Amino acid sequence: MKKTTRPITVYLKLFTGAFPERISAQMKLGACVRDLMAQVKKENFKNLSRENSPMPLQQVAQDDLLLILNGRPIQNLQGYDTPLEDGDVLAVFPVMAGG
Amino acid sequence: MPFAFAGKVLHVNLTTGKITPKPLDEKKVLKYLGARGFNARLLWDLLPPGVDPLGPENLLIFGTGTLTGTSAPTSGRTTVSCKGPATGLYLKTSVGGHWGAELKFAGYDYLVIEGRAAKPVYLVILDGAVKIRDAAELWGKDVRETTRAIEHALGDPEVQVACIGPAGENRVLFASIMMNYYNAAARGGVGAVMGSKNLKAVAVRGHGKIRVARPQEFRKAIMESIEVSYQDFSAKTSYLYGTSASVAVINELGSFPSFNFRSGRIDNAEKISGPYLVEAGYLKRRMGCSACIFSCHRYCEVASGPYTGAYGGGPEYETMSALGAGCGTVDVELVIKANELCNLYGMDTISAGSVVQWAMESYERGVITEKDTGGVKLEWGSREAILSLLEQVALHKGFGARLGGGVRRAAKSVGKGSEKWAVEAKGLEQSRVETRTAFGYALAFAVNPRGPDHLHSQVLAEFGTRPGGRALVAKITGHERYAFPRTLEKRADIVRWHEDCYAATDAVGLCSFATTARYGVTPELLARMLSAATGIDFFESESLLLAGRRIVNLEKAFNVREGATREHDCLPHRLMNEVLPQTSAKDDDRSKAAPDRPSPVRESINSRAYLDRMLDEYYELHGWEKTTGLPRCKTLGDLDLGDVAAELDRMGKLAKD
Repeated sequence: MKKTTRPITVYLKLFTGAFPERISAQMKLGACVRDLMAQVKKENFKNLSRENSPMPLQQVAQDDLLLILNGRPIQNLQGYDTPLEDGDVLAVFPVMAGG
Repeated sequence: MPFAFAGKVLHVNLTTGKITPKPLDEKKVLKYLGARGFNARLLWDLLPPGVDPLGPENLLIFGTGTLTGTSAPTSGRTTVSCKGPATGLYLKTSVGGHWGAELKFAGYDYLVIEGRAAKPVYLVILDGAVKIRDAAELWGKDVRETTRAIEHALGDPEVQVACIGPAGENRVLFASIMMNYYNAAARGGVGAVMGSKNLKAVAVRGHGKIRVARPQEFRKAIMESIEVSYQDFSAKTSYLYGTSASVAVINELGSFPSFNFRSGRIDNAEKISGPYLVEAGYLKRRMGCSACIFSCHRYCEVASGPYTGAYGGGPEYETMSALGAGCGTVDVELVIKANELCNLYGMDTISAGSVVQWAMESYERGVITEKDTGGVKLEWGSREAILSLLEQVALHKGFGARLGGGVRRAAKSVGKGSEKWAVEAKGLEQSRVETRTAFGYALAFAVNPRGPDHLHSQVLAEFGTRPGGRALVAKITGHERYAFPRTLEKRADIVRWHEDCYAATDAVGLCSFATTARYGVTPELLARMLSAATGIDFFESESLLLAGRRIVNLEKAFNVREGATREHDCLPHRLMNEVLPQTSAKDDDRSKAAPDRPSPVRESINSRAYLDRMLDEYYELHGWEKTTGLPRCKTLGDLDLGDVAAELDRMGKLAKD
C-alpha cells in the first residue's frame, strides 16, 4: 500500500499586543517548532504586527521569544526541535519576567 | 560616619515617648549585610519569644538597604520587620519607593519602634530632628487623605510618608503600611502592628548625602550592572507592561490562579494584563523606585463608566489574579477600583482578594448564605460582592469583620469544611503562583518563614525559558537539564541558592528584579558594588551568599524559638490534596519530553509525598535535622551564629550534630 503524507494543521497565537493574532499553518508531517517559526517569520510576522504595535514580534530576537506549545514552554519539551502534531497550539510572546 | 551608611539607629519608644538615636555598629550590621538581615538580628536580640504580635512588646523595625540612597541600580528597597500577627512567626516585608532613601538622607539607617502610644500619634523625622506628634485628626483617614494632610501640615510636598489606613487601625491581619501613596509593605499584617502601636504615620525628609568609599570603582560596577540588566529583553517588557505583563503568558501555561485556585486559567485573561492597560488607555504613567532602572510600577486611571475617577498605583500581576481572576472576573475597571480601595484602606491586595474568593466559594457551596452576608450575594465576579466586602473588611463591619483575620481564621469561625479551600499556610494567604505546576516554587513557598509566597526565594530559573536561568541552574546543579519545573530532582539545591541570593539582595537593598528575576546583577556584581560603597573588601561573592545564608538561618532560628517545626513547612490544603485540572486539550507532554529530562512528576499536585521528598533534601542540604526541622549546632556555628545556637540549646530546640 502506498504511504501518504498528509499535512498537519497547527494553530498559532501571536501576541503582538494585548490580544493574540490567531492564524493556522499547514506543515509537513515531521516538522518541528523550528520549521514552523521559520515559515511564520517569513510569511506572517511583518504583516501581522499591528501598526504602531508596542511589541512588534519581528523586532524580538529568537532568544527573546517565549514559545508555549499546548501549555508548555518549548524548553520543557525539546526546544526548537520539538516535533509538531496535528492540532498543536503554539503561543508566541516576547519574554516577560516578574510578578 | 561610615561609608554607605547614615550612621545611626533610631529607637523610638511610644510608651514612654523616649527618642534614642544610637550610633550604628557597622561591623555588626555588615555581618548581616543590612536591612532584612540586620532587622532579623535586632528582632532576635530584642524580642523575647512568645510575645503577642499586637501587644506593645512587639517591635516594628524599618531597615534600609546598605546601598539604599546611593545610585546602585534598583537600590530603593526597605525592609519592615516584626513578629507577624497573621502567623505568630517571623515577618519581614520589603517595600520600594523613596521612603528608605529619604530616611538615610535624614540621618538614620534604621528605625526601631517600641511600645504603644496612649493615643494616636505620628512621627516626624526632619534632618535628624525627631518629633512625636498628635494624630487625633489623622486617625480614621485613608492613606491618600493622611499623606496629603501630612504634606500640608509640614508644608513640604516632597516629604515621604509611610502610613496606615483604616485597615491598620482596625488591626486587619493583612493591613499594609503604604509608602508615599502607592508602595506597599503589604504582606503579613505589618500595618496591623503599626496600628496596634497607635502609630498612624512616619513622615521623613532629609537633605543629607550618602558617601561611598571608592566612587570610581562603584560607578564602574553600577554601569556594568545596568548594561547587563538591559541585555535581558524582559527589562523592556517590564518597563512597557509592568508586572502584569506576564498575565497572558501564565494563563497560557495553565498556571494563572483563578476561582480561588480551582483553575489555572480564565477566559479572556488578556483583559487584565499589562498590555491591555496600555492599549485600552488606562495606563497614565510609569514609575520607578529610588535608583530604579526598570520602572515597572504603573499608575492607572478609569475615565468613564461606573468606576469613573478610580485611580492609583498598579494593579500589579498579583492584584490582577487576587482581585480579578481569583474572584472570577476579568473586568479590569473593577480590578482598578478594588485595587484603589485596598491602597486607600491600606490592605495587602493578595490576602484581601484571597478572603473575598474564599467567601465566594463558601457561598457557592452553601456554607455561608445571604443571612451571613447581610443580603449580599457573593457570586463569582460580582462587583457588589468584591467592593462591599473590601470595605467591610477594612472598616471591621458586617460579614467583613469575620474576614479581617485572613482565611485561616475565617474558615475556623465558619467551619463546615471550609478550611479545605482556605488557600493559606502558616496563617498567610498564598501569593498568586500555581505551585502545582512548578515544584521549586512549591518547596520555596513551603519553607518561607513568613508563609507561602514568592518573596523569600524567587526561582524563575527553574522554568528554563531564559538562557541566563538555564546557565544558573547548570551552575547550581551541574546540568542544565534540571531547568525543568515539573520534577522534584534538585529542587532543594535550586531553592537554597536562590534563598541565599534573595536574602543578600534584600539586605543590600536591591530589587529582586535585578538579581533573581533577571540574573543580570550577579552576586559577584553585588559584592563589587558593596565593597566599593563600604570600602570593606571581604565581600566576595561566596561570602556574600554565605551572609545571605546566615540571614536565612537566623530567620529559621527565630521561628524555631517561637515553636515552629517541620510541620509548619507545608502548603495550602487545596494544593496538597487536589490535582489542578488540566487546562489544555493537549495537556500531556510526555511523548514530547526530551530524553535527558529529569523524571517528571505524574500529577499537578503538591502532595505530602512530593513535598516530603523535597523537604528531606532541603533540610539535609541546610544542615537542619530532617525529622524535626531543627537546625544543628554545627550548622549555626559554621555561620558564626554560635550565640543563637546556644540560646536554642538552652530551650531544647537545637538538633544534635
